[in-house]
Formats: sequence, structure tokens, C-alpha cells
Amino acid sequence: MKSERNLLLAPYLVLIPVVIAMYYALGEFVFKSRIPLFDVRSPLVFCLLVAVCLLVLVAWSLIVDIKTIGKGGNSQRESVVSGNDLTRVILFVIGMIAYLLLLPRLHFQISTMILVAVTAFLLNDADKPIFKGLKAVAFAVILIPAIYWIFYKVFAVILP
Amino acid sequence: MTFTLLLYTIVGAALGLFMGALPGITVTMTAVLVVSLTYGWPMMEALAFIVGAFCGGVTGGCISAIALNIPGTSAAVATAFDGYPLMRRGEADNALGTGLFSSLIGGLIGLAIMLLAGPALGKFALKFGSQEYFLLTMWGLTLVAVLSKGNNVKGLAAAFFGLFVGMIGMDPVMGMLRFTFGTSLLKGGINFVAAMIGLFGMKEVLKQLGKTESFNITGTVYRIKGLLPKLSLIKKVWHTFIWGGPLGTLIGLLPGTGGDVACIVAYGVAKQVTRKPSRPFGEGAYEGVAAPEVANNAAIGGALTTMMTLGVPGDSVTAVILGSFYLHGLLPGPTFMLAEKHYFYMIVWFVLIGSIMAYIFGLLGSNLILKAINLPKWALVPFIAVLCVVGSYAIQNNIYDVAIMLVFGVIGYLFEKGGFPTGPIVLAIILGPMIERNLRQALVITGGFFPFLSSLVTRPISLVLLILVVLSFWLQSKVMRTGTADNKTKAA
Repeated sequence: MKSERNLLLAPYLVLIPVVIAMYYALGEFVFKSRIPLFDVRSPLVFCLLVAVCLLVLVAWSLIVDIKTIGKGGNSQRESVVSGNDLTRVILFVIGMIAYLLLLPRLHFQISTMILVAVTAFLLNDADKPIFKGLKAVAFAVILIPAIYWIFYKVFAVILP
Repeated sequence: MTFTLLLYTIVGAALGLFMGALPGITVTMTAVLVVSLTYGWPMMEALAFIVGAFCGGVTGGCISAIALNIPGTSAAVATAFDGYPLMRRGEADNALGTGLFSSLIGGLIGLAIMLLAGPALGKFALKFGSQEYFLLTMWGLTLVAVLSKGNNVKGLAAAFFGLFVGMIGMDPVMGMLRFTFGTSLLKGGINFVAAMIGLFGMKEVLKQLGKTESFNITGTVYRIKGLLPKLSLIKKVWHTFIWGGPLGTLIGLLPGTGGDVACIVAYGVAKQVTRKPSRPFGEGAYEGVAAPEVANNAAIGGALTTMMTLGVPGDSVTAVILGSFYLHGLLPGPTFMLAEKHYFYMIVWFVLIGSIMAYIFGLLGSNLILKAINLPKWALVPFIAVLCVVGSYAIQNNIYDVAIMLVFGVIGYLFEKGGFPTGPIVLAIILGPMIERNLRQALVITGGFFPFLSSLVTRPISLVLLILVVLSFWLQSKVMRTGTADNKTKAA
């Protein structure tokens, strides 16, 4: 049986820290910088409105999602990802971070060729490994200089 | 209109048509990539390219909607309802021919109304104060109802997250630094183009990583002769041009509504008003292809008019275009028609050329586009990823923007898996500073929160706008719920 992951609660990994950070920053403004909060001229009036609304909406949707999962039947099948796909996404994101670190050192053409070749290799499920590798390298070697030339000559974009 | 501008519009239309036809690459994503690439260009050339891509993208959506039952853009959702059954009956040429011709007619009707409505709307908007502007920007934010597709709580949560992102950096009124958490990188705020590329482009790359199969459309081949408009077909659908064009433009003119809503509403109206359709709706009625295509292309003129004269986006694509106006130092709004009138008329030209060229490229290039759709995912996904990297780097020649793009790509992926739409985030990032500035000005002018609220109902224009905002949000939610349900039924 294929392993599956339900990512229905994944957005809260971003939203909850954001809400906490907003209130922490507001607290710092009020208590450290002594900026009034409940004054129409205050630069924090809009921030407070957004913070309150965001807290209410995040709490509301979190409760609904927990109830949905609690009931066992997840009606939102889009949130279910197979273990394989999730691994592929995580690997790609790690690869992108490595790419960003390598970009200033190896420059655009070489680092992007590596990124494209590795991604194309990982995504190709149809061929045998040796053909996958050859196709991926050939694709990267043709594509990247072409892109570099088009963007440099046509769009006047100076790539690193 | 110079030859160079003509060329930029033509290339933009061709690129837009191609990208709009590829499932997974929306018109919004195309617009975002195009905006980032044209950042360093002269303003007029950039506008020509962006508007051309907009016209091409909306037209291109119908190509994959008919061939694959997967709309290339959300504005072509309803086109698939009858377009795909027509393709399965062996009438793909007639279906696409009708779709492309209707798109052209829709674009031209929208353009005519844009010419009439633009100056009048600009004059009227000069009467607006801070309260009216605040309500107008809130009206733009009602697009959340469309983008949420039935889940308004999550849509609004995403929008408020976008407002938070828009607040990072300098306060637009007093210049105070907010939410930078001591990092110098955040002092300049989050570059909204990089965030948009992440939320629309990189998110799509991450989504596609899980789908390795390519589309199988080897059986579909279009004949150029077969795509030309036939008198017998035009006789069947001409009435949809008469009401569908003005209806689409009107929907496009409303802040917060665009091609997505226009195509679903037009399809619904076509079902109501067509007494004797060429076939039952849902089984290959030509009226079911013509009505949404006329309306979604007519909405372009409406949405651009609202964006330029009121400074409020009609849909997510015009939200991106609005951002590009700011990048190029243009300030859309009531004074736009006084100070920058020539830009308005140049954009009218760009829409005219873009619509015509999208039609011609649609006739000539549909087979080539179908071949591109057949490209294996292992080639397409890395290609889009590289475009996202180059697009985000090109904004300021800064690797930091590429990192921002990646972060927002991951956020977009996680949000979408959790049922949170990503469109409202972008909309809120762009509209946030406008909403804040007008709200704070109105609060200072009225002297308090309750006087401000009462001024919204005592000022006649404000009251009308307030009613329209509430009505618009409610109606759009209803339309999108019906459209989504219809879509699911058809897919089943």
C-alpha cells in the first residue's frame, strides 16, 4: 500500500507563527516604543485591525479543519499527497536552496544546468536510468545556453 | 503607434496565447513572468508586451479547454462544458473556430465600451474622497470571493495574510519600519513581483512534481481551413455576441470581477436565454462555447478601464498589471485620465492589436500549441522553474528576490494543499497599501472610528459603493459556488 500524507493542516505551520510574530511586534511597539494603539492617528491602527481579523480567521479555519480530520472522512482529497510525491517536493526544495547557495560561486549557466539536469532526471519515470541521465543532461546543455542567450540579448537581463 | 510597439504587442500576444493554452500556466502567471522581464524596459514597450500577453492568454485558454477538457486559464472554465463534448463528437475544428472567433468579437466589443466608458468613469471618479477610495479598494478585495471558490473563510484568511506581507517594511504614511524583526533584508519590504512569481509559478512547479504523466492528445489535429468562421455557425451563435459582449464588459468593469466570473455568468445566461440551442447544453452546444468566450474576452476591456480610471484591479491579471504600472512609475486612478490620457489610448491600441493577433495566431498555431502541451513533464517542469528563477532575479538583479520567490512558492504549495487559495494573497499585497492609506486618511479626516463608519452611510457615493461591495461579495460567492458545482458535475 502506498504511504500517504494529509497536508490539510500544513498552512498553519506558516499562519500560526505569522500571527504570533504580528502580536509580538505589536507588543514591542506598544510597550517598548510607547506608540499608542487605540488612536486614529496611530500608525498601528491598520496593523491591529489586520492582526485581529487574521487571528479570528485562522482560529476559525483551524477549528473547522481539525473537526474535518477528527471525523475521519477528509472531503478535501487535494490535501492528500503520496509519500513519493512529498519526497520529490522536499528534495526539489532542498535542491533549490543548494542552487541559491551555489549560484554566486558557479554562476548561472553551470549551476542552472545542474539544477535542470537533476530535476529532469528525477521527474522522468518512463526511461531506464542511463537514458534518463543522457536525456536530462542533453536537455540541460541545450536549454540553458539558449535561455541565457535569449534573456541576455532580447530581454537585456544580466544573469549572475 | 510605432512599428516597435506593434512588434512588442504581437510577440506578447503570441507568447500569451502559447502560455495561456498550457494547462497549469495561467494568464496570471504569464502576466507575472512578463512583468518581471519587462521591468527594465521603456514603459510603452513594456505595456505593449504585457497587454498583448493578456489578450493572447485569455484567448489561449480555450485551446486546451476544448482539446483536453482542462481550461488553460480559469476564464475558460465554462468553455470546456460544451467545447470538449464537441471535440469528442469529432467537431474540434468547429468548436475551436467558434471559440477563437467569439474571443475576437468579445475583445472588440470590450474595446468599444472601454473607449466610451473610460473617459466618463475617469470624470466621475474625481468626485471621490478617502472614504470612497477605501470602499473602492475594498470592492477590489471582493475578488477574494471568486478566488476562494466557495471557501470564503480560508480565502479571507489568505487575504489577511497578504495584507500582513504587504505591511512588512516601511509604513506608507509615516515611514515607520514595521514587522522587519531587526533584519535589514526586510527593510525594503517584500518585493511583490517575486512573491507573485513564487505564488503562481514556483507553486505550480511544486504541484507538478507530483504528476509525472503528460497529456495524451495525439488524436486531435486542427485544420486551419476548418478553424475559419463559417456562416452557418455564426448564424447559430450571433445572438450571444449581442448580449455576451456588453455583459462581459460590464462584469469586467466591476472592481474585483473579471473573466472568471464573466465566463460562468455568460454560460448561465446562455442556458436561460437560448430557446433552441444547436444541441442540449453540456452535450456540445455551440452557444455554450461562444457565450463564455465572448464574455471573458470582453471583460479585458472592462477590467483595464476600471484599473486605469479607478486604480482598482478588475481581476487577478489586472492586479498584476496594476503592480507593473507602479513599477514603471504610473499612478492609475481618477487623475490618470487627466495627466496620462495618452497611455489610456495607447493601451486601447494594444488591446485591439493583441485581440486580432491572438485570433490569427490561434488559427495558425493551435496544432503547434497542442504539440507543446504533449511535452513530457520532465522537460516542462524544469523549464518553468528556470523561468521563475530568471523572472525573479531580473526584477532587481538580486539573488535575495529568488529566495523570496522560493519561500512564497513553498507557502503557496502548503496553502493550496490546505485548501487556502493563493490568489487573495497577491491581491492583498497589491491593494494593502492603498487600503491602509485611504483608511488612515479617512480616520484622521472624520476624527474617529465611529464618525468614519457613519460617514460611509451618510455620504451618497459611499453608501452606494458600500451596498455594491456587500452585494458584489455575496453575488460572486454565489456565482462561484454554482460554477464550481457545475464544473464538478461536468467532470464526473
